[in-house]
Amino acid sequence: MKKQLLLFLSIITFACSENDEPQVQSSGNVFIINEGSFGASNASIDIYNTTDTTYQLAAYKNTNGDFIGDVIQDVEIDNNIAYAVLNGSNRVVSFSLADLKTIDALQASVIDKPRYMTIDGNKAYLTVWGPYGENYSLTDSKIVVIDLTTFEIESTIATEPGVEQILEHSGKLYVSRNYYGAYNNLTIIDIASETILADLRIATGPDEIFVDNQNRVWVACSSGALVEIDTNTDNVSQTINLNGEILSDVEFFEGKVYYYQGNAVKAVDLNSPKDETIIDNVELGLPYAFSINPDNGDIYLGDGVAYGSEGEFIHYTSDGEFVAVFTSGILPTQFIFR
Amino acid sequence: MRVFLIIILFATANLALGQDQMQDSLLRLDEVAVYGSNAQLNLVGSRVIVPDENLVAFNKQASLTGFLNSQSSTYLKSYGNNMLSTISFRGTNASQTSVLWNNFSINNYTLGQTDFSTVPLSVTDEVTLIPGGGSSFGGSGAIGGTVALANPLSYRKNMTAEIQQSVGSFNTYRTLGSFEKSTEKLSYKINAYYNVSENDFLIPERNLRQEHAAYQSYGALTALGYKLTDDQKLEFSLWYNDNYREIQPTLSGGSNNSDQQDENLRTSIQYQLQSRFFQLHSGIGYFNDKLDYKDGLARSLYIVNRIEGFSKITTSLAKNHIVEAELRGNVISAQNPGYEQEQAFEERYSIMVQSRGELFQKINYAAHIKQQYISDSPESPLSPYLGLAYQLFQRSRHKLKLKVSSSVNYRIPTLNDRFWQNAGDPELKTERGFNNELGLELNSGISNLQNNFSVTTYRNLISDYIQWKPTNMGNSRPENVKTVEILGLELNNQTSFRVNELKLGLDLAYSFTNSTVLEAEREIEIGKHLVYVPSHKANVSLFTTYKVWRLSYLANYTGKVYTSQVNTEVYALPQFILHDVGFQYALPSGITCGFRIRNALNTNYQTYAGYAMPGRNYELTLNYNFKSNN
Repeated sequence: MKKQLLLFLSIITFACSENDEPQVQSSGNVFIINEGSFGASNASIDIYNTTDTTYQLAAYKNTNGDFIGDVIQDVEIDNNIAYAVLNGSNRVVSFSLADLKTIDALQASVIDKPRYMTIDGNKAYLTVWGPYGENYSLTDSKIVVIDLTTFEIESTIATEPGVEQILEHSGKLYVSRNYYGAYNNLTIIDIASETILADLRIATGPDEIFVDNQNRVWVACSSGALVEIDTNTDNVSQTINLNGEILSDVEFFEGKVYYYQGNAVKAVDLNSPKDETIIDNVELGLPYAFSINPDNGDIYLGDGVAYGSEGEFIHYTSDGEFVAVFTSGILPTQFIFR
Repeated sequence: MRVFLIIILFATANLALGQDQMQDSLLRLDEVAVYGSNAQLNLVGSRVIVPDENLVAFNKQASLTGFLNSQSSTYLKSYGNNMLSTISFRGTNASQTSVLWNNFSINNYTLGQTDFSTVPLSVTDEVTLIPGGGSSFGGSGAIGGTVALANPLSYRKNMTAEIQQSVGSFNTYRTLGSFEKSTEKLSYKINAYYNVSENDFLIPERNLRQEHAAYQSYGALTALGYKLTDDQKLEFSLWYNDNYREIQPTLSGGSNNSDQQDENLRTSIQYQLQSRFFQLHSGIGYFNDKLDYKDGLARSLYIVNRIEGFSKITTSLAKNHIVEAELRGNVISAQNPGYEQEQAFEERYSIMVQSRGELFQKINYAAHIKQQYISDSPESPLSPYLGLAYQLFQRSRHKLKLKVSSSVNYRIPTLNDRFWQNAGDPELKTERGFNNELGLELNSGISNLQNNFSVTTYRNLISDYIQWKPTNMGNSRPENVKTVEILGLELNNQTSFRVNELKLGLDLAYSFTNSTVLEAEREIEIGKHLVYVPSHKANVSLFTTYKVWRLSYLANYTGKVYTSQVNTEVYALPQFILHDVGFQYALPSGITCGFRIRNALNTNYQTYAGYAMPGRNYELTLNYNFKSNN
C-alpha cells in the first residue's frame, strides 16, 4: 500500500512538473540509448527507473531541447560523465549523467564514422572507420586517442580497416574488426608504444569484447562463438560454440555469459560450457539490445521492431518473469545502469 | 497474350470505323483530350486543379517543390534546401503519386518516386494537379494523385522570347530563357535554365550557416511540331536536365563528403491524325535517368533506360458518346549495384477502354477500365473509373455543380521492391487503392467579382500497402503488410475582383487529411497516422495588380507531422507558417523587375526530420519579354 501511494505521488509530481524536465533519480536508473533513424538526427536517451518502474521517453531531448545527434552508436561513462559516440554526426558529445545536461562536443575531420569507445584513466580510445574508398571499402580506419581532461584529440593509431568494438585491458587495446562481414578479426594494440601486437583471424562476426571474473578476455561473435584470447601470447586460447547465431550484445554476470539466441534468452557457464535457457519465446521484431542489471541480474531487451519505428524496452526478472514493456525511442541499442 | 490484345484493339477499331451511322453521331473530336492538362475531360467526376497563373509565375524560377507546397493537398518533405524532395499527395506516400510529362510517366523507376527538387517549374508550360485516384488515366502510382506536366505547341502565327535573371540570398543565381516561334504549319519552342547557389543559408534560431549544400543545375526543353496536312501532325520533344548538388548534412552535423548528380534525358515523338471518323494519337518516348551518388571514393550509379509507347484511338459510337481505347507498353532496363547481377529488366503493358459523354438530364460521365500487365509478376487489379458531373443549378453567372467519382487505382512495386539483392520480392502484389469522392463546385459572378468555391470529400482505402520490414537475417524485405484508410476534406475558394486598373485575386485553401492504418501486423500501429502526412494544411495567396504594380502575398500553414510509426510526440515535427511577399514593377518596354522575400518572418521549420531549412531570404528578378504576331 505504501509503495502504491509512493508510486501515485511520484506520478502526480511528474504529471505536475511544469516543463517535462526529466528527473534523474539517485539510483535504480537504466538509461536506454536509442540510435534513432539514420540521417534523421533523432538519437535519444530514455530513463527507466527500476524502483518505481517509471519510464521517461526522450529524457535527454526534454532536458536539452533537442536530440543528441544522428545515430548514437555507443555511450561510455567516466566519473558520472557520459561520452556519446555519434556515428552519423561524426562527433563525440559529453553530458552529465546526474542531470543529462550537455557538457561539450568534440568534432574533427579525423572523426569520420566513429564507432565505439573505451576509457582508461583520463584517456579515451575511439574506433573510427574513416572515409569510404572505392566500392564502399575502408582504407583509412584508425583509433583516435582523446585526452578527457582537455577533451581534445591527442594522437591517432592507424589500424587495419573496419575497427569496431574496443576494450582496454592491462595496457592493451582489444579491437574487433567486422565491417558487415568483410573481416573476422581481432586487433591487439600495445597502448604505451601505440603498436599493433597482433591481428588475429577469429570466428565469423567478431563484435563485443568483455572480461570475465577470472580476468580473461573474450570476444562475442554473431556466428555464435565466444573466443577467449590469451592475454600473454596474444593468441586464441579457446572457442566456445553456442550452436547458431546470437545477438552479439552479450552480458557476463556471476560466472555466466547471458545472450539472446533464436527467440530465447540463454546462459552459458564459461568453465563448463553447457547452455541453459532462461526465458523461452521472447519474440522480437528486430533484436537490438540485451543486458543484465549488475545489481540484481534482471534481464533487459531492446526490440528495434522496425526501422523508422519506435522500439520496445522489455524488462524481465533474473528468473525470467515478465515485469514490464515500454515504448522506447527508435532502435534501442544500449542500456546503462546507474 | 500481348499480341492478342493488340489484335482485339485494332479489330474493334476497324469495326467502329466501318459503321455508317458514325458520321451522323460524330462529336467535335477536336475537343478530345490530348495532353494531361485535359484531364478534366477524362476525369469528369474528379477535381482537377489548374493552378493560378500568378502562383506559377511567383515560383517560376524555382523547382516544383515550393510550388507544390503552396497547394493544400500536397505536402513535400525535403532533406534540406533544394535537396531531395518527395511528395505526399492527399495523405499517401511518395511513390503513390504519378508524375506525367506529355503523356509519359517520368517517375524514377528504381524508387518509384520523383525528386521534385530536380524538376524546374519554368520548363513546363502547363502543370495540372489531379488529386485522388485515377490510375486509368495516370497509370501506376496514381493512388494519391497525379502531377501532369505538359508542353503543348500552338499553330498560330506567333513569336515570343523571354529572358529572366535573378540574384538571391546565399549566392543564388537563376537564369532562364525561352523562345517560341510558330506558323500555321510549324511550331518550335525552347525553354532553357541555369541555376547555381552556394546555399550556405543562415539557420534560424541557431545563428549557424549551413555547410555543404551548394547546387548547380541546367537543362533545356525543346519541342518541334509540324503539320503534315491539315489533319495530321508530328511533334518531337526533348528535355535534358542536369542537376548537381552537395548532400546537405543533418542539423547535428555529419558527412561533408557526399554529392549527387542527376541526369535525365526525356524524348518523345507523337503523331496525331484527326479524321472525320476518329482520332488517332500515337507516341513513343525514350527515357534515360541517371543518378550518380558519391561518398568519398565510393560511388553508387543507378541508371534506368526506358522505352514507352502508346497508341490511342478515339471515336464516337453514338450521339454524345466518345469511345477511346489505349494500348501502352513500357520496357524498362535498369543498372543498379544493389540488384542481382547489378541489373533488372521489366516489361509493362496496359490496355484501357473508356466511354465518356453526356447522359440524360445533362449528366456528364466518364467510365474507364484499365488492365495492367507486368512481366513475371502477379496480376494487377482491374482498374475501373466512373465519374459523373451534374449541374444542379445555373442562373446567369451562378453555377452549382456536383461531382462524384469512384475508382480502383494501383501502384506497381518499384524495381527496388522487386529486384534488390537478397531482399526484393518479384512476387510482391501491386498496391491497390479504392477511392470514392464527392465534390461540389459553386461558381458565381456579380459584375466585376467572380468567386469559385469547391468542397470535396473523399475516402481512399489502400490495401496491400508495401513496407520494408526487418527480417531475422538482419536485413529488410518489402512485404504487402498494411491497409490504410485516408479520409479527407478539401475546401477551396478563389475570388477575383476587378475595378478599372485594380485587379485582386484571393485564393484560400484548406485540406484535412486523416491518413490512418486500418490493418497492420503490430497492433500498436493500428489507428496511427501515416508518417509525414500533416492532418491540416492551409494556404492563402493574394495577388494585387494596380497599373504596372503587383503585390503578392503567400502564406502556407503546415500542421504537425508524425515521423515515426507509433506517432510518439517526441519525434513529431511541429506545425509552422511560412510567409512570402513579392513586389513587381512592369516597364512599358517589356522589362519587369521583381523582388521577393521568402520566409519573411524567419520561421524555423523542418519538413524532413533533422534537416535545416532557410530562414528569411531575398530574390531580385529582371525579366525581358518580347512578343510579335508577325
